Amino acid sequence: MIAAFIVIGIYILGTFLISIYGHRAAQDTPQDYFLAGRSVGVTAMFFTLIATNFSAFFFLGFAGAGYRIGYSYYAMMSFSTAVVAFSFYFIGHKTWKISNENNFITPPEMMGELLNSKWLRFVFLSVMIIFTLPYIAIQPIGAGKILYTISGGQIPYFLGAVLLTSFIVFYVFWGGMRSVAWTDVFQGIVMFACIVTAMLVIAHHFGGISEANRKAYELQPELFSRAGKGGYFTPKIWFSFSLLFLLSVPMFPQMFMRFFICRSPKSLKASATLYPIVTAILFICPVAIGIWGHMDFPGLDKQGSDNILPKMLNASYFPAWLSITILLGAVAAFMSTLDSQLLALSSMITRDIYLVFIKPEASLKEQVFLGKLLVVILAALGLAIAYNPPGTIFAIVKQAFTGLAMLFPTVICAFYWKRTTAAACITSIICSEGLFVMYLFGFIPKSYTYGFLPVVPLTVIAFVIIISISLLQTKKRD
Amino acid sequence: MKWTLVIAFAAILFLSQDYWNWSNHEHFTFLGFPKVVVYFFVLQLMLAAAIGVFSTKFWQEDQ
Repeated sequence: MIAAFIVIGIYILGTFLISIYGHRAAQDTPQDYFLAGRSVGVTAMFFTLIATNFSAFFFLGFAGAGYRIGYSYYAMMSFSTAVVAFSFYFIGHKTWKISNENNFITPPEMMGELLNSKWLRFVFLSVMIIFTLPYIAIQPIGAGKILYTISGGQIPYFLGAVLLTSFIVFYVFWGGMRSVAWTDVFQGIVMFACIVTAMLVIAHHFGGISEANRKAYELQPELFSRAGKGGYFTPKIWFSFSLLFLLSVPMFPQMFMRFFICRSPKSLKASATLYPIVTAILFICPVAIGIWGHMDFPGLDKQGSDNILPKMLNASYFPAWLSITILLGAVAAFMSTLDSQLLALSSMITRDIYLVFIKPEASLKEQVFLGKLLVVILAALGLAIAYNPPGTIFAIVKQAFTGLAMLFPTVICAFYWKRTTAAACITSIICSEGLFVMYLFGFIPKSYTYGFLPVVPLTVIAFVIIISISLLQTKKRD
Repeated sequence: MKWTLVIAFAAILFLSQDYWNWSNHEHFTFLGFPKVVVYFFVLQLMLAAAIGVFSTKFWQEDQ
């Protein structure tokens, strides 16, 4: 297991050295600490968008889903994620422009000031926190498990979670967004190199990609069908997922805040163009590995299939050092998501709660200090929950995409329709989230979604509420 | 031109329906991947090209 510690050590050292850059360039202002002084260029922007969005689920969850559902999962996930590139134009550019002109730092701050309502700011913030906070707890859980696997059980689960989370806190505390963005470049490259290598080595073991596919098809032909095993991906479900990711991904605070940090729209243009290429090429790797897993590990249940990637890596066709290195890709994916979430939440609590409701006259230095302190507190809270995670955490995370998608109509209307009012947006968010909760608890029959995911009817309702109330209010005013 | 791009992309989606509507899983294409993979792989590359053209021609920095 010496190889494991050497590989982990090299990776940690690499991340540390890159984070030094962030620390050296850092200034003691919220603009600099939370947004890297809005100076992130094309390369860093592209990698930080990708690395932040692709969590450890990309490594472990995709392979598991490939094992259970088949190649249709690739088609659905990659295309649905690729269309997120449209949001870089419709939301990203507008966000960059408005936040740059007005020195806004967080999404709730921007929405509240745009429609001149501190209650809209508060409601927007609340939804973002409710659906992001549980992620801060589940990321260390994933990290602990990966480190446990890499070290062959020598690093206990919770110790691994504490070690990796502490390291993240260290470089986020030290260098803020500059460290996060530049370590994302390194972590993004590690992630991609690892997953592509894993696919190629496993394919080689089975006699090449064509041969691996042929053998898997002989065992499980349903995994090669368009609708996937069990016929889950109906056209309505396809449409729903495409809409779900398009609306929700830019609403995750760590993604939304990426639009604040770029130096110019050039970074967004390049990222939007490259995004579909990355999803097309990379998403095939974990899904194919999952499908090929049937040849050596047949008959796994849900939990077993979610571990198919580590199982394949630990199989005899990988030298130990290589399987450990590849699993580090999952660690990189986890780190690049958690660091951004910690920074996004700390900036929002500082700017949208402390500065609005507690101490409006707080100095810039005080804001940075509080932001740093909150990074530590939030990480400690996440670890405390990760020690013995309640089931509700996983339930909230599972619904986070739909919950956050309900903010999208507010953002689009505030950006592109001058008649939009704050009251209409607040009503829209509260009603659509309320209906979603009622749907989840069974108060609204599943049949009411007409075969779509709930995000489709809820988005329509959210838009209708904003438009009708805004029209009523502005007509009265006119 | 902006709408031409959108209409062209929609037309490609429409015209490729036959390919997309394949009803069984016996049609293998490139490297043994099924059609559903090849179709969406190509579609995403086309999407990237379309966004590239759009961002060069119509995405104004001061919009």
